[in-house]
Amino acid sequence: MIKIINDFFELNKMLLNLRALKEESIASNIANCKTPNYNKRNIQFEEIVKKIDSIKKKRELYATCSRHITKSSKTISLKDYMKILEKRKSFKKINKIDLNREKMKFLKNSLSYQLEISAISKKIRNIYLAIQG
Amino acid sequence: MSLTNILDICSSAMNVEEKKIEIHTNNIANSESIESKNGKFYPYKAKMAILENYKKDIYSPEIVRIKKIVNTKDPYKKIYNPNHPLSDSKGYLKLSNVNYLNETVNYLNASKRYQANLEIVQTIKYIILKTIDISK
Repeated sequence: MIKIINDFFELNKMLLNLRALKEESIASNIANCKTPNYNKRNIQFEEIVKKIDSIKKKRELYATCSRHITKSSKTISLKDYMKILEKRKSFKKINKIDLNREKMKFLKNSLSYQLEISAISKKIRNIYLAIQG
Repeated sequence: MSLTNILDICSSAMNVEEKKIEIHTNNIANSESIESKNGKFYPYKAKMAILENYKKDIYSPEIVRIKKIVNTKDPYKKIYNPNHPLSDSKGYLKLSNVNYLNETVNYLNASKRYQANLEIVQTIKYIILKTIDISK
């Protein structure tokens, strides 16, 4: 029973971690917006989710379209994310960070994070309801 | 937790911007002062900070810090003032190379970036609080 509930939250956990990491990369971009020779960090969700999926496919959600995100049952540690991030450095020498654009990205990402949190609390409430009957 | 890492990043950036604001105000304040080196007098040279990004290892946050503070390479201003005790044999006096316009604009930019980082801190604080009471 506990395992089922754990699996239930696997995807949310992954997305929340990714959002937090993206938040960190944007904050780093804003902090370093005047540093010479700084490589802009960028996280693209599609690629990471695909990569994580390809690590292990055991139990999948029923996907009707090839672009749907499927659930992977393996827990992914923070190290795996960081390895993926390290490979995604862009090799521009000149620092070209637009502060306003980064701010907007940050706002968007933080709103998505809050959306994710409210989805999780809704799920938890549903589980409570199912247990209590 | 990467959300608390963001607080480290922002605090480092805010430190750097504060330091930069200090340097620019210092430049403006000292634009008419004179330094003495080995018994000789020189007009004040404008300073500027060079930044670098610093990372302890691949899992630690990427903070920003001041690499070094250097003198700018602008030439000294020269005015004709034969009455001044420090003017040369032809009557020209060297003045410091502080450019008021540059300093003011840099100062405003630094304070803008400081504000941006402060906004991030506020947002992150709110998000962390929301994450804590996730099941309420």
